[in-house]
Amino acid sequence: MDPHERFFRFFEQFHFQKDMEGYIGIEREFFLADDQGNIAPESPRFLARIHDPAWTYELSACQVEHRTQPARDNSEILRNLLKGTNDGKRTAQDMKCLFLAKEVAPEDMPFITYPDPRYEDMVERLGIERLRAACRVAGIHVHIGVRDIFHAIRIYNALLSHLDALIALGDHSDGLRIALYKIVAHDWKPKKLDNPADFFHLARAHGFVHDPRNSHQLIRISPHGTVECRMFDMTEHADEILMYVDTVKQIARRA
Amino acid sequence: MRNDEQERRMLAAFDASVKTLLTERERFIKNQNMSVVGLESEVTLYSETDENTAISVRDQAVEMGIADMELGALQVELRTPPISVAAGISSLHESYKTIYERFLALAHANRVSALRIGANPFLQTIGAIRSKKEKYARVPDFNNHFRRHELDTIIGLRGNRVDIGDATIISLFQAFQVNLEARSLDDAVDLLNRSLMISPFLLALAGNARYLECTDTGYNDLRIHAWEISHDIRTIEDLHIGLKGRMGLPEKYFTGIEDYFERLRRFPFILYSEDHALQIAIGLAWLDARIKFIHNSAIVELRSLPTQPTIKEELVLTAFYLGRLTFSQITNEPLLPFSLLEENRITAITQGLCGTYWHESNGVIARDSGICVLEKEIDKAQIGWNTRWNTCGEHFELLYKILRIGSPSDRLAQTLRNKGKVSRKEMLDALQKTNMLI
Repeated sequence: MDPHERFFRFFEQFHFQKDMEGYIGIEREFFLADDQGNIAPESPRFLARIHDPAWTYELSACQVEHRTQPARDNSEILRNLLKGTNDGKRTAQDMKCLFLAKEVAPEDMPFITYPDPRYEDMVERLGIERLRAACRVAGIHVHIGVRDIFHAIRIYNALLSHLDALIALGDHSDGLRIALYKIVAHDWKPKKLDNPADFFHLARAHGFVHDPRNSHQLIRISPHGTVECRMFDMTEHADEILMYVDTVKQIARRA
Repeated sequence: MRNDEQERRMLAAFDASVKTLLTERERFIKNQNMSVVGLESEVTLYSETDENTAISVRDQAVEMGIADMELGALQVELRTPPISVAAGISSLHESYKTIYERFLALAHANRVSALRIGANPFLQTIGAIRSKKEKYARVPDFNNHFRRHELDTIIGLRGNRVDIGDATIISLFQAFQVNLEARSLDDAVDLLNRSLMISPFLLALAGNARYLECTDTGYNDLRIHAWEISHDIRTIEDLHIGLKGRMGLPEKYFTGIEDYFERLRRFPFILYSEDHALQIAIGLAWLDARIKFIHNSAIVELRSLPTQPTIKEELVLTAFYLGRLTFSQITNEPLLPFSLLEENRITAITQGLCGTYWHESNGVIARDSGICVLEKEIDKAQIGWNTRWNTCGEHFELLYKILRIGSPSDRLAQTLRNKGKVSRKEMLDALQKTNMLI
């Protein structure tokens, strides 16, 4: 494949949509625990029971992820968040499990991964220390829709200039979650981008040129056509999540 | 803007008043159950050509004792005296009708109309004109000053969006409030919790605040949500630990009257008059329902509903509220888990009858369509009403009709053919057709 083609193929993986500009999507990672509060690998049972595309698995079989529908208005985001939490809680209750909004699980939690072929390689690649760290952390990812790659780079750079403040804003664990995240993702630190070519070079250097999902920067341009902030610790408070959203929106507005 | 010394003094005065009130709790004990009710309803004066005439009508109405002044310069509040409803709501109806007709006669004599809607669709959302009173200057200014700067104050579920980032926005809003005397302080807390639980069902039916600046926000009723956003002065630390603001829902159901007072004392007083510390704290507690104290009465006030197009609709909602509360108390209904109430509330605000709601049916909690849930809720209210008042309450028919024809917001949007942005003339015509401009 010639370099030009490689370049265009890379960008074809990003689904930017003009009419989704400014829309917000939120991913939240929840832990599942048995009725005694011990973190437990219950995600296969949970997902089979809830049977809802808003829910999916994570690397750790002790976690599930909820994704909201993209929305612009905070009231709609709030309704989606509350609906997700209530559905999750009730499903866990039916399973006689606990549903936990917790940013870091204890060290003695089970390290069992979800049975997905994508994770087999990953487990191999990560090694035991990084795998343990990856399984213990749960965060909130805020996506903001962008119209094209140029817009994405502008917002990405603007968010990057507030990285430390954003990390502090979402920190509930005295920095423990982010410290563990850094153990897992060697490429955690986003780097300033000048243009799309820069982004392409970064993707090649960090090994996500064939699959942008393999970028684990705390701020990343995602294949969903969004810029994604991954630095916020998990919280049970929907209003706090809206505060993260408002902060991201405000920085994006000024970009 | 905020005087810490005065705040400290107010808090001490508040604590002293609460202590006295709690030692005198027997004085709030009443023999009869839910017997005394009073209504308050806010209406906006509207003049096509002359705002000063509208303001003069407001002043005359206040002078004549038919109405009270409100934050918005063109708003008035009509209120009935406390009336016994031991024999049903006919006496309440008579009293309200008399006051309303006197007010309407005064307005019409001056060629001024009454706008009966939850959100004034004509005024600018930023910088609305306020009535001239100290509290109307200080309280909005305080909230504007301390509102978090990153807060997204632009709302709208459809294409067009409107900025509500000014605490004076509440001068565009009209509410209809039901005041209910409790049998005791414990009963007041019980009624308060049940009112919070029932409130979203009422709001789904009653939504009447959808348009701002002639723009369709797509909300069933944006009023209490806009209030929450424009007055959100919580700090990042507050949000980290899950604290709510002074409006809307509390963090959980109240466990007792002490818990209620404990929450009240958390917020700045803003207005300083030590002799009135308790009243000021309650006056600024903009919850969907609250407890207030007048002489020897503990009163539960339902605050989440917008003014309705007709007083008949307000009365039938009152009957729904009283009947549903009675049902809840006599069956000792378990309170819906608070997180489900939170979801119901935001659904009522945004989607109204088109949303899905959590409810309890035969001991099972489930989420169902708005129409299905509301039908069951009206049935429960009717059972409560019939049990308590021993009449079959023919007014409930209107509630079932609303399920078919939609909330006032739905009806206005249908009349405006769901256009995102309308002209002033189109809005005036639609308001007349839907009985919201009289």
